[in-house]
Amino acid sequence: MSKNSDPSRHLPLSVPVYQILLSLSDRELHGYAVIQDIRLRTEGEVDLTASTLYAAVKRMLQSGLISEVGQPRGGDWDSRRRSYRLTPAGRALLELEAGRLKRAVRMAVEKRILPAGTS
Amino acid sequence: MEEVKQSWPVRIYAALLTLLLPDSFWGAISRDQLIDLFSRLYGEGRERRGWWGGARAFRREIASLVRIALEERRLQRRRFEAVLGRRERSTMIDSIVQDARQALRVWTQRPFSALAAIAMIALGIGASTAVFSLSQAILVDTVAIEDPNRVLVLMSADREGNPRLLSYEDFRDWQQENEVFERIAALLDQSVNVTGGERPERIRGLFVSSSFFSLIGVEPALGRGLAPGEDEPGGRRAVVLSHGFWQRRWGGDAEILGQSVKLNNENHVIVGVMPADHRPIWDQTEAWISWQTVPRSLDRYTGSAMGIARLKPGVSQEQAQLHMGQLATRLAQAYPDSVINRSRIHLSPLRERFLRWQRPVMLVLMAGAAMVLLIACANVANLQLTLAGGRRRELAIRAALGGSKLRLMRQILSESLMLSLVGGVIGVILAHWSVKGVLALRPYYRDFFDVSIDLQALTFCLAATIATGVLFGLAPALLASRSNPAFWLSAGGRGQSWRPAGRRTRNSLAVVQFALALVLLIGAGLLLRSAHQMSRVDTGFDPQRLLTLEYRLPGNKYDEPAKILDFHRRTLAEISGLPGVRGVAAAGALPFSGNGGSLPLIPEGSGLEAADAPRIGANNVSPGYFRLMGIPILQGRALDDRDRSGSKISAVISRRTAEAVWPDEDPLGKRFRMADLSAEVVGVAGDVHLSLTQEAQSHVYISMAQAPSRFASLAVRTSGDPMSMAPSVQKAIWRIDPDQPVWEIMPITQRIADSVASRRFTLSVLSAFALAALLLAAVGIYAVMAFSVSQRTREIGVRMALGAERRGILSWMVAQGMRLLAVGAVAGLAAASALTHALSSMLFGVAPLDPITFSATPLALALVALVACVLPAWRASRIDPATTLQRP
Repeated sequence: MSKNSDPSRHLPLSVPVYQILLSLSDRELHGYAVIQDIRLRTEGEVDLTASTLYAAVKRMLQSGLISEVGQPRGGDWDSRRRSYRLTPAGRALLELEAGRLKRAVRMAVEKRILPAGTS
Repeated sequence: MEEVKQSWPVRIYAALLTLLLPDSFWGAISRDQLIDLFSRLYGEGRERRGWWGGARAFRREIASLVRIALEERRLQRRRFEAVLGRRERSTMIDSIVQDARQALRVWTQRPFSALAAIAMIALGIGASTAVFSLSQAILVDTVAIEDPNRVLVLMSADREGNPRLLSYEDFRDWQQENEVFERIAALLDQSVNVTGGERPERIRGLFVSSSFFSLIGVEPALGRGLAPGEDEPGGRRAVVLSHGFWQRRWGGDAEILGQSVKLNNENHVIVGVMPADHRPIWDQTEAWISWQTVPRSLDRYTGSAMGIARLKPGVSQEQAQLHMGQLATRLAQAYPDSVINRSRIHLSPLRERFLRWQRPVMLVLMAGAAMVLLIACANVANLQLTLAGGRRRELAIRAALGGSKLRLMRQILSESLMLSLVGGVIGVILAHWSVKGVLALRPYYRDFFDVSIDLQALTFCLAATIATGVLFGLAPALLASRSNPAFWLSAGGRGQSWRPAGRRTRNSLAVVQFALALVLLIGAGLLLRSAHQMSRVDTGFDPQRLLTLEYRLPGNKYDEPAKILDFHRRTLAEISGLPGVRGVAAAGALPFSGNGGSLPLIPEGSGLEAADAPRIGANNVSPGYFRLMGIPILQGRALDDRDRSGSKISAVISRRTAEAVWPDEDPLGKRFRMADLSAEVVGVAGDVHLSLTQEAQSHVYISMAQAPSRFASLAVRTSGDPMSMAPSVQKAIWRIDPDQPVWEIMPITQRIADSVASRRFTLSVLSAFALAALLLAAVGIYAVMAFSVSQRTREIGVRMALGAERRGILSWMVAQGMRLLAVGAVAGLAAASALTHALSSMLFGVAPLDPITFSATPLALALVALVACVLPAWRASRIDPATTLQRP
């Protein structure tokens, strides 16, 4: 993370990356749980495949946006179901992106594309 | 979950992970993680929606994996380039790989279209290659002799031009005096009794003149052919064995030459053995025997053989016909008393003779295969147009970004080629299976023809589909690259890609498919109706539990009528005494045996010449024949023991004979002449079908006692399974004469089934084609409709926004599809009515323009097409106007 001091270079985020970051924003989750969480929140609009998820996870790990949860939780540690959590850099990036999206929606409201009160 | 992990989709996914993703992908992420996640998602799909849900999840995951893999590899390459500081020059291999990758990407975006195209190409190539291979083997490679096209069948002919057998002396004269043939050989096929070993047997023999082997140009593998002189009266009796016969009876004894074998009770010297791979020009010939043993007179008056002749170089069949005609006329003048029916000659190509009955079947099948191939091509064309239409924006973007026209064309080309190649490979596998299936369905072909996949046929079919794909893929690409990219990039481009011209092409392709499918279905329907009609034919006798067999007594052992009669009588007595036998009778020709001939019947006092008299089937039967066969006696009496040799000859005639010869008269007591017999009608019997496919034949039955013949067929009525009685019946005959072979032992129901085997075969293959055509046409119509819907989403949205109801949209779309189908139906019916007369020789009890078939088939096809139409139309009616109109 230290070498990538400016997280805004990642903006705008792709849909999978944004959604994964959101899912990990308040808890640690493993891959399948991430997919389920995204599906639930977006009402099925975003439905990631295994390879899309892990290709994104790989890149986010490399960029230091998320990290693997090191300790086994409970007794059943399974290397196939590693859990991930957000890093401070990831949280900062998520805030940046959310802010950007909010501004974008506000502009649409001002231009009366969307009804007032949407934002 | 455990079983899901072991299932094949998971295994395929795991294999693809290793195959597609670069090594650099792994590290932070493990393979196990991906596999685990996949199997959860796949299992979830299955739990929710069963098989279909699983398949959907699988497709989605695989497509996504391919995309990710392509992206990963691109990233990897970019990293390399960054490190190396230069772009590697792209080699040809690189660009081919790139093209293939691009094609793969396009496929994964439209997996159903790609799969449909591959399936169509495979089906088209598979079906047509199989049938073309088969017809190549049967129609072209049949005659396994040197240059078969120059070999003619040479026969005498009567005044009507009907071919008749040659007489021995005519043959000798022709052989010496003709100037148009290199060689002439005589041949006659006849079954031969082989005795002297452990077990008497009967084989198919071909009696030939010594010129035969040099004429066909095939040398025996062991020894030699017949020598001159060995075919003349008094010459040494010699025989050449087939490889199979030599192996079977002598165990392939290397010292076979010079040994002797008893054929028809006479010793013959074995002088040669034919090569193992020699396919005889006559079905199943196992011994080529010198001609002088033909059990017929060697004079000028008796027809005893067919001739085959090889044309001299530069001589045409017409010239030969003219020359031989003059020769025949000369002989007719020299021997005026002998040439009543032999004043002309009849020449026909050898191939023709063997193919006469195969040709219509093969031509029909080839036409069917060609139609399937055409439908497949039309589908591929349609699909390419659709794909290209949908990709016009993409192509325009690439052109706008500087993609060269050549590059774009190459892209389209390589996509078509890849589709065709994948489809072609599957097609070859299909063809291989189909040929195997055909041979299983009709073992006859395996016995006589060397059937394997024909490379020429394969190349042709492959070329046809590739050409179609390329042509229809390239044309829209060219149009796209020529036109102004800006137009296609504007929002208007979307709606405009459904241009009237493109639509017209697509629509006419759908119409063509529908019409072709209709033709095939009508053909199959007619055959199916024929089969049904045939199954309802009343054969005129009771075929249940009836065992049949044949034997021929050797002439030199049974040389007097009394000996022949004695053998028949004792055999019948011996068999009727067997437990499990309810009755037995003998006949010259049993129904469905293919035996029997017809003779002119001259009513006494009619003054008719033999040539003008009606030809009636003649059959000599044992007294109990009618009762045993269940043939009713309608008038008068059956033949019985009163009809002895020496007494007045009595005849029972069939009803048709009575109607044909003595219409409106009581036939009982009428007298007639047939060949050298003079007989009186004592009874009228019911009509009997000799085959399912022909009308019942008119018959004259005469008692065996009054017209003994060495050849006889037995019919044995059993109380249980007829075949279980076969061994004891055979043994009963061997108790009378241990050297007497019997053959063709089978239930008569088997003969009936065999007699329609060829039709059944045509029916099954044509039905398979019709089914394939139906599927392909349904897919084609679905594709056109689905594409129409996808391109008109905006239009439909606007209509609905303006108040059109869902039902209105649905019926509007369906009506569009149905208009196409109506055109296709009219075209199909017209084509079918023009083509079905080609089937007429294969039909039975059904007219080529059978109204039931011609009305029911289009309805059935229309129903299928309706479903293919309604699905996309229904989807159109579900369109949400708000979303379509918001879309850019």
